[in-house]
Amino acid sequence: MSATRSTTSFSEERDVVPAVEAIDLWRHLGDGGTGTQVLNGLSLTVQAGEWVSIMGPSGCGKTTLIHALGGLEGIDAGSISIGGCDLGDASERERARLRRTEIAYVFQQYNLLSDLTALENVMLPLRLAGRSRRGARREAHVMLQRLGLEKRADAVPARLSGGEQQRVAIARALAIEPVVLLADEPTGALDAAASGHVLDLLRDQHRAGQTIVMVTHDHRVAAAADRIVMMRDGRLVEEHHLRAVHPMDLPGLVRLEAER
Amino acid sequence: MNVFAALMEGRLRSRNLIGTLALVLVAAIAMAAVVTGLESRRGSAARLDRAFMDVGAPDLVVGGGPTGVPAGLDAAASAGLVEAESRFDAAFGSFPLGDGTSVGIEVRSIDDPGTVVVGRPLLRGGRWAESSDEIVLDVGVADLVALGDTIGLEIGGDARTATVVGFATDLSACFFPSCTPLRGYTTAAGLTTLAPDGTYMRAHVRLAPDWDREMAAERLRRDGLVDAVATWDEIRADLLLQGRIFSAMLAGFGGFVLVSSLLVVANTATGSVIARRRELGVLRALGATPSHLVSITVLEHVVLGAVGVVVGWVGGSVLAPRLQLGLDQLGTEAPRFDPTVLLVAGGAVLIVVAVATSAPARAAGDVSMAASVSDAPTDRARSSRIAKLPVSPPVQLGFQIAVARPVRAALAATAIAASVAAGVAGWGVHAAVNGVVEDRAATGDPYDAVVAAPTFVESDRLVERLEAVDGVGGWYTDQSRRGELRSGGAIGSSVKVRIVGPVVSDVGLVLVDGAWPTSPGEALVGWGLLGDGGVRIGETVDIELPEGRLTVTVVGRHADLDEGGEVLLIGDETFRSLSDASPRHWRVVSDGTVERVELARRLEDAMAGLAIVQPAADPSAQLRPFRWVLGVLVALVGGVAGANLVATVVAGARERRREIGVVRSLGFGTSELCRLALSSGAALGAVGVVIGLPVGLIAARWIVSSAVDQIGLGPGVVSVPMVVPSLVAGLAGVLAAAALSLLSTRSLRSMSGSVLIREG
Repeated sequence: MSATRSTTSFSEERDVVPAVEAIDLWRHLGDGGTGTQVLNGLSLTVQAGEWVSIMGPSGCGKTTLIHALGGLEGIDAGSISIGGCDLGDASERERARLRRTEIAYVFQQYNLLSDLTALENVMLPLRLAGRSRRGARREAHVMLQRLGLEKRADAVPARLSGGEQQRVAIARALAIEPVVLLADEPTGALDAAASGHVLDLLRDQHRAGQTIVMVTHDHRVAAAADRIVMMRDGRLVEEHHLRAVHPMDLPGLVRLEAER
Repeated sequence: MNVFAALMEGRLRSRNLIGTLALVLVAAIAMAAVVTGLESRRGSAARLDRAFMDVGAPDLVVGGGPTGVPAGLDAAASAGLVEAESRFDAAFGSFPLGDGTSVGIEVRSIDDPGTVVVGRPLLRGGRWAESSDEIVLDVGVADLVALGDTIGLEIGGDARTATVVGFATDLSACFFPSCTPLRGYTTAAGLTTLAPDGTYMRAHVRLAPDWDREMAAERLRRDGLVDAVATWDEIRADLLLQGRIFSAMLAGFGGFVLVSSLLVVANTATGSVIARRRELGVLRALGATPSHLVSITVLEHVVLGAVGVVVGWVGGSVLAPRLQLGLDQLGTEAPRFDPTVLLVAGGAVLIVVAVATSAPARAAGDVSMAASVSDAPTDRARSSRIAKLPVSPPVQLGFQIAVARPVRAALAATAIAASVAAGVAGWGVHAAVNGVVEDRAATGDPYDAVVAAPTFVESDRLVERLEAVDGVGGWYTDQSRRGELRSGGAIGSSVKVRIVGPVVSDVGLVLVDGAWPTSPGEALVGWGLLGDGGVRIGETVDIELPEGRLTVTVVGRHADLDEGGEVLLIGDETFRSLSDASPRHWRVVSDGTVERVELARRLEDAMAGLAIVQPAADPSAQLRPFRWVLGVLVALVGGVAGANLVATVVAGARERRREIGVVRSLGFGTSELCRLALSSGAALGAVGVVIGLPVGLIAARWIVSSAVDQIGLGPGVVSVPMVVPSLVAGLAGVLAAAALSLLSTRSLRSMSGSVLIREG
């Protein structure tokens, strides 16, 4: 069964349909008794334009959730829709098409393609989305310029610092103007200065209306979101709307959650 | 040492199973190739010489009339030439092969094989004939006839039957089907039943210790009492001919196997270092020195290679007796497991392994702790030209991946090149061998049937009958002598002298260099005399024949496989200055309307018992062992090259796991991943083909040249086909590389993108 969506386009729907809607997700990894139930009936809804941070102890299923939301990881039961498009029953071809046009990832380890330059890395999703070579090059240049990387456009990843690589990864992710940006510990491998720079970038995008779902261990990074959800044993156990929480209370809140 | 042992144990435990198997397999194949080459080269001659002694050392095989042979042998015995001899009555006939064709058969009478002192036939199945209606057949037809079958023979124009009770062989000529007639054995009473109109005689002679075989043969020929004398040296050379060609080919293909093995080991070692880059970084962080890592990497491969060496030694030792081409009728010898071969050949293969591992081992020693542990991207070579190619992103990325690691790409391309080269060389050699065997002119024997008449039959009468046969396109006479050749004042060497007529240039031989003899005193030579024999075209040489001395000028070279090309050929006119003896052998050429067997049948009818008629040997039967051996050799090289390619591609795919996960996160679906894999494999394949084609063509020429030198044909006779093999092998190389690349990513395509990204 192919991915389903209503007759209106994504852009029209953004205002009325949740950007991400995950309902009752179940996922077991490994064999029988020796495996782990990594998603345990988890449900999560992210409205268009919302920034949600997912936190929780190691092994609670954060990365599995974010991979499942983008169709990189299958689920055993439940349903996921991105901008109204149902991923659960989508064929692999449909999922690939959605990743080309609606979903973008940013990883902790950047995961740039080492054989391509910064510019080519950013061009790649644009070309996959159907842009001409010239058009993709122009858009990729603009994107790198916005992120302050225009002088590093022809450098291969091995010649870029960690912060630069992550900025290129963000440029690559944002180039297709995705419905949702899925970020897995985007600052996890960066120093404080580079983290701050990346976080500023994400804030700018969020202000421009970008929906972001981010996994992080860092409460300062998490605090940039509109909402923080806490995960444990494959479930969402708590959520906090940050407009209602004083930023100074956040570290204690996170620590309390980790101790439960 | 404890640190070293601990590191080594850890390395062996953590090896990838496919890489380990590929390494062991390749070392085993390389070892088997070397062992097979060594054993088959030295084994064939030794085995034949042992068989010769076992059957009573028949130095000469004599044939002729029922009175001439005994008289000749008695005279030879009086001259002190004979130490022992065995005589057999014999009759010639034809034996149906079951496919509508027939072949000549010589049936000999043996009542009690135990009493045959010289040239004892060897029973290879069943039992000896005990009654007059029983026959023992040449083991060369054992796959056509079963024990207990009643067969029909035609002897002297009459149909006869006999029951097959056994299979046997002997060393009186080379084996069927390389040589005809095939042999049959029955009782004296049985031979009388089969050939009531008369028989001729064969005899095997063991010479007295003082007599040289050539001298003794010439003495018997000079007496004129016997019709044919063959020495063991001639028969032995015929029996070993296939083995000589095989050895030459094995040397060429063995080189391929070793080079390919070197590449495979280098590839698997490189793959192993790449796959364990993080592990190597951790080991360094824990205190292992670069020299530790270099040593354990080399030692790890040598240890695994040693396992392959032992496997290959056993396999090669078992295979070698089966590759003693041309000696199959002697049965398969028990394998000989020679520890010296294990040490020498095994040492050579392990040196190859160590050399091939040295570069990846240095890379292992150079692994950066920080980079490997932190998964930092590698600074790879890239081509900006590829980025400008007007192709889709997956294809472009595939091309980038293909060139990203120049050394790895070169290894993979060389693996493909080795496969392509093996394919081209195998095809080229096969076509060349086909060409030699099927083109009788190139062998020096451009005839379809031979008519041999006893001395009492007048030549004119025989020629008259022969020319009246429908389907005869022409004929020539061919007698041979042993002669002593003196060239440039050098000490004389014994050579075969062919005397053909009536006109040398009309016989249908292939003139390779120089000109045809047009007047008395001119001669042609085979490559064996020109190449190693030291004779030059234009030179005047002396030849001492039983009939007297001839001085001839060598005016050209003809293609001749006989006696390794050590042949001097003169016309009847030249010979007539010494003797007026008329020829006894007529080689008959078909006019193209009849096949050789049918032509022989018609000639036999026409001769009505005046002469013995035999069709020329079936070239396809002669080719069978070559095809088999070539198949084995090409399979060996192809197997090694294929293992190399798989090892390279699998290592590359392993290295690319995370990147495949990443491109999936960017929206690559199955078709994009397939296109990426195909373009990457095809790009490597194309590079391999560009390298491999010229190498293959050069190798094919070298192998063919080596083989034709070995058999005495020399250059200029055989051409190696280029266009079709190049096209086919080139296309196959690109397609195989693309297909293997596609296969190697199959499991990755079905794997969750999440797993690929997380586990890399």
